[in-house]
Amino acid sequence: MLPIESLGLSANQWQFLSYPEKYVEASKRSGRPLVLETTERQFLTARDILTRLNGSKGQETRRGLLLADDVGLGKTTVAALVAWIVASAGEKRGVRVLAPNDVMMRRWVEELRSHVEPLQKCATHLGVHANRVKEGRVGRLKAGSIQVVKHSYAAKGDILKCDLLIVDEAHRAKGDGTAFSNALKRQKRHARRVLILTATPFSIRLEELQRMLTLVGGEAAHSPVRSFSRALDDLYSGSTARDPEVVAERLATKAKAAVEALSSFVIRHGIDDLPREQKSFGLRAEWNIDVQPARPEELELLMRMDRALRVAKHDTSESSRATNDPRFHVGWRHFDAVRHSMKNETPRYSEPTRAVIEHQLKAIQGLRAEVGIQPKIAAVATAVESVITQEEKVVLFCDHHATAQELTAHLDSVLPKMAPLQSLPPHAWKAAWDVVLEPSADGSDTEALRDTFVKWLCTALVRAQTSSWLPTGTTLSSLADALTITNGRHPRGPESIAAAAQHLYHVLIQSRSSRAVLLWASKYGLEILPGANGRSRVLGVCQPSEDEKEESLFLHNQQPDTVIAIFNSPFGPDVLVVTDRLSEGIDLHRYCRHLIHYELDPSTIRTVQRNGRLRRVNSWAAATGQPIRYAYPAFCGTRDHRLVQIMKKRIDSFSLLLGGVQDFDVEEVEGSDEKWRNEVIKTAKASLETVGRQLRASEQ
Amino acid sequence: LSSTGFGWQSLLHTDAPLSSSLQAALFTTYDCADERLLVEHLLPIFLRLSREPDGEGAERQYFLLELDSRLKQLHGRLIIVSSTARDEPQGTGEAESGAYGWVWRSIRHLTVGSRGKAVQHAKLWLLHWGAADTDGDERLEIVVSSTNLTRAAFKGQMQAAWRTCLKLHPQPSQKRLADWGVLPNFLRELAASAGDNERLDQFVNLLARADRPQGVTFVASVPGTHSRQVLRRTPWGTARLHEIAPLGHGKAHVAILTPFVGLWDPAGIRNWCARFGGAPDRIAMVWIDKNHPWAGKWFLPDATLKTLLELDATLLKLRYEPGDCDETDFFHEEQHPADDRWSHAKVYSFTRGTSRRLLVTSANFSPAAWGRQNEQGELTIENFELGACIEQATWPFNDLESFDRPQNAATVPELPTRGSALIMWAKAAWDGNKVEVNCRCHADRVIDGTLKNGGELASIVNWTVGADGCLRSAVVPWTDSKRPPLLVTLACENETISVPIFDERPWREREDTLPPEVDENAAQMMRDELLFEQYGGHVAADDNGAAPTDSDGKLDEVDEASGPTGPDSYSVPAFALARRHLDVVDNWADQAKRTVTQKTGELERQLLVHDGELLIEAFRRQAKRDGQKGEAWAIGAKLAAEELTLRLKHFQER
Repeated sequence: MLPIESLGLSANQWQFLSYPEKYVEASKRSGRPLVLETTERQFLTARDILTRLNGSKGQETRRGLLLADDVGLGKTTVAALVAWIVASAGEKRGVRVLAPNDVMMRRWVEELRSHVEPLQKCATHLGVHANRVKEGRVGRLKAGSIQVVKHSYAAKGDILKCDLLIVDEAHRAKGDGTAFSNALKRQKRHARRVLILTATPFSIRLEELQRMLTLVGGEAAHSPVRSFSRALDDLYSGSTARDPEVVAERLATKAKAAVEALSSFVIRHGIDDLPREQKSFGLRAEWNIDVQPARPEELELLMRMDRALRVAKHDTSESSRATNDPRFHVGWRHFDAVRHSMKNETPRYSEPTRAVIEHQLKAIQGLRAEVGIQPKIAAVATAVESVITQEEKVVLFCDHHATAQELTAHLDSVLPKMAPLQSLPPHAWKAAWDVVLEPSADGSDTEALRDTFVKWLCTALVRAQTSSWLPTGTTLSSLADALTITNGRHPRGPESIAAAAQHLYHVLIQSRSSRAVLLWASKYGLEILPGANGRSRVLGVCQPSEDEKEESLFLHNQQPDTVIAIFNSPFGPDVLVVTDRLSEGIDLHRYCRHLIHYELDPSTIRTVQRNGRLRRVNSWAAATGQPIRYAYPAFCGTRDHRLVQIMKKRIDSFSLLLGGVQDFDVEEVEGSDEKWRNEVIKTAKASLETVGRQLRASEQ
Repeated sequence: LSSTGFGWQSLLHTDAPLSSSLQAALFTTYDCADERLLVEHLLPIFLRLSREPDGEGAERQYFLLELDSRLKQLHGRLIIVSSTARDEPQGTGEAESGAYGWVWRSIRHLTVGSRGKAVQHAKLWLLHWGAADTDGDERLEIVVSSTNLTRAAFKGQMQAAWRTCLKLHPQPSQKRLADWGVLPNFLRELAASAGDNERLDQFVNLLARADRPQGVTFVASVPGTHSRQVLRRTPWGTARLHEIAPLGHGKAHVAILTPFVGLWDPAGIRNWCARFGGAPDRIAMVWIDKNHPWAGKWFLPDATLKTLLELDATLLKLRYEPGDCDETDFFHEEQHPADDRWSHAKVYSFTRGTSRRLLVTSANFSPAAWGRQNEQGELTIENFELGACIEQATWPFNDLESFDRPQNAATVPELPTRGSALIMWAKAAWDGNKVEVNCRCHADRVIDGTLKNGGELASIVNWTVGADGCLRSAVVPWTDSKRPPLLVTLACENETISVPIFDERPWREREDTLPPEVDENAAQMMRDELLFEQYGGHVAADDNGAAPTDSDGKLDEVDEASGPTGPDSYSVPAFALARRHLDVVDNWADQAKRTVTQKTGELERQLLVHDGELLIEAFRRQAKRDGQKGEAWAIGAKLAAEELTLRLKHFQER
């Protein structure tokens, strides 16, 4: 291991971080305005990180740090500032950023570039320039540059010698023996400092957390961390016959010891511990969606299928199908698919299994003819309709593709279609957009891209949407003006329709994949762009269904940048049905404050991550002064309801336990045990809250 | 003497694997079997009941129903053969055990004496165990002892017993059967004497499927006068002794430990000894003096003592000195001074040179047990007796000293008489329409009979007399299944006997007759629960009720306020309930599959069909019960009944 060399920074070089007001002011012209309260905390965090990494102000020099802020608090922003300062100050240094995937990589580039203008104004001594950001492979990392690459880049064996290695979403690198994990071990020797951005510490597997601590030189924390981790295991797996108070005290004691040991290497803020910032994130409000409880015939369907699958499994031991598949409880599409495949498989079963399965399938067929639309889908569709008629966007999360497909198709079939105003024909729109849409400042656009984008703005759905926001009586001649003075979707929206379109265009052409999509659309047709095909207000970002009639409802490429960018604008599909692929590291908050957990994943952290897509700085909720609404609809009488019940409780204790809330199998959780756990957590709450705050950034 | 400890329940265990279940059993006893012993001690162990008889409230009800259910499953396959017991004048026995008289509806109770005077004194248990999960083997467990099926025999006496548990071959073999010596014929004679010639053939068949344990020889006596010719073919009583004494030169010695010694004359003793190559002066008999607490229990006629002494037999003294362990001879290393049980063991140790063989038997040292030989060489035996002779090196009474003064030995002037039974044999059965009573009585005596069920139901008036004037039979019409007849009392002059009535109705009709102690209103549900439990369902219990349901019957309301009565699982109760019911179906199906693959016995197959039918009905009833909380609750039981119907049909068609 290399000795901890000085980074050669001086605290004066980040002095500007003590004046966030100026920076916030500067950011308003960057297209990404910052919020003062949040920026103050982010700047404090950045100062703390730099002080610790550099060994300033009498601090012991650290080889590395873990930044484990809650989702939505802007870890990327903090790390980007640190990256710029380390790279640019004084002698200049090389910084590398490892992002988990292409989307995140592009987001990093965007984040880094968004700081160029404010830094040029507030920290002129740094001399930052956008061309210092290097996306993808580079020959040799020059001093002053920041390279952004994917995790896989590190795993390929390149030596990533640098002064600061930033590893984003490090917890995604599962397993000790993986290529990325091994690469990180190797890179540790070549990186002078390591900054790891990760999820809430104890939501990560213990081994992974220990590995990260090792990377930042925090081996000393291994023992108390292991000890608290065991206390958490004990909470979820140990005997529930014990006195909750005793267990609570032990838990709090172990948490305190772990946090004390971690505090040198970990900085973390919980979103609920930042009352000054709540407004900028957006307040939360309950969103109840009443689902008609399962009727006996629906339950019988589920039970019969469960039975048929169990009998089949018992007979051959080959079937890997889940017998009480969670998908069966939230939709019929997968249920029917399994039913059909089982029917084809029956000849391979021995008697009497075959007879039993055939009997069940026959009964199921009869019952399926009786039951109609899945009640949860029907209830959610009603709720979604009421939201979008109020000019709101909604994102719905599913755990499975089949569920997302079914939900998307149903929503499309029932949601009201939008029709554009006849008085404003397409050519009028084109003329208006040509007027208001400015060319890209950096010259990165082309006529073809711009034309395509304008054509998309003139498609039926976008025209219908846009015209619905315009003042009554907008005419052909006043259209351009109206676009520049009217906000999209809500009078208190963050920008005018024209500014929103401008921003969207900017984002699209900055993204390599979105540029490719626009280019493709310019050559082959607009259908590839979300919302361009027909009047559907719904888009499914999941594996497309095989039904040709549903082809236009789904994203057909693996690059969701374009969809995300459009969803973060007032235009395009109002309803996004997604799987958990979009649950991490993606912003969906700029024009959406409604999230429906249509189908939960049993992982608590996954649910927390989903919620984090909307509860972020500069959210639509904050801009419009309306609350963020999370809905957990449940199909009463089925395991879906149980899952929701447990999840809601566990989410509440997630931050309190520093993420140490375990995943669960809904059928294995005993009600009395869960009650006991909640009692333990409730008893330990005050202590845990105090303990958790010790990891916050401070003025060293 | 007993290898499994020295408690009173030492004999009440089995060496069969836990997963095997009893298929049939034969128990022979002198005294009429004590129903309380059967119900509270013996049957719970051998029927592997999961509940204790001394529970209260619902637990007690579950116990009785579980026992009743198992007895019904084994209807007629549990057989107890005893002597005909005359009711004691005070009738305490009936009062105490009468609560369990219903067990005789399913347990076949036979008495000997249908062909003439006979005493059943053997203590043989034959237990047929079904295929075990572990190895798929059926087993035959054999116990030969001195133990009657009474609480006094278990709790108040010390017994000697020999036990073995043998794996059964799939098919019977005549060669194997012949190797068992007198035992098969003993069973046949016993059945014949009980007036039911083929009743014990199933056990003979089991012997033909088992290999006789090496070194074990059976010695049996059956009542009657047996010619030399017969004895050559079937050496009953003393005729078998020459086969069990160790071979070799010189006189054989015998040490005798029996609590009852018959009236012997010198010739009788000489003949007895001559059978195994012994001599009276090589007899060493363990006995007690007049001060021994067992003096009122052990019987030795003065005359026999005199004969023995004249023949130079040795009388070994079993010392007893109150409060002085050193001056008291104990029977067993675990026996303690406060143990007031007396020895009822009947053990003979034959030695020749260094060879020793031990006979564990029911036979006292008496002519009634061993036979009295006449000048023609015919042997007259009064009792059914059975013993197992094994190699045994040790004899615990080697160190006893002879009586200094034999006149101090505990003796009686005369042996208590058995009296002359007027009613020598009887049996009764009910087929749902009529009660048929058969008995054997002295030819010139009048017999009265009464049909009973707690109270008196009907008098038996029309007796048919057999050709010999002794066999009597009567038929009493009785169709009232609400008041099923329990027993027949027969009276002849001053003698009264009670004859349990065996229930020969079809099983469907028998199913509805419950033990009288059971609450009829709750019985059906409890029986259903027990049946589910038998096939892996939840353990039926007082508070079992609707688990895993919510207290208010809602499908999945779970909140902090639901309190301790709320659901204890986050899995959906209706689903959990359905799986619970269907698990029962799976267990039934697994057993059915095993029956096919292992080719287990016909009885298992019959029981499965029987239980399958009962389960279908039980699930239909359960669906109604579950459905009271809401339609969805009933689905599980409905599916279970539906699937079981399908599976049962398939099983029966194979």
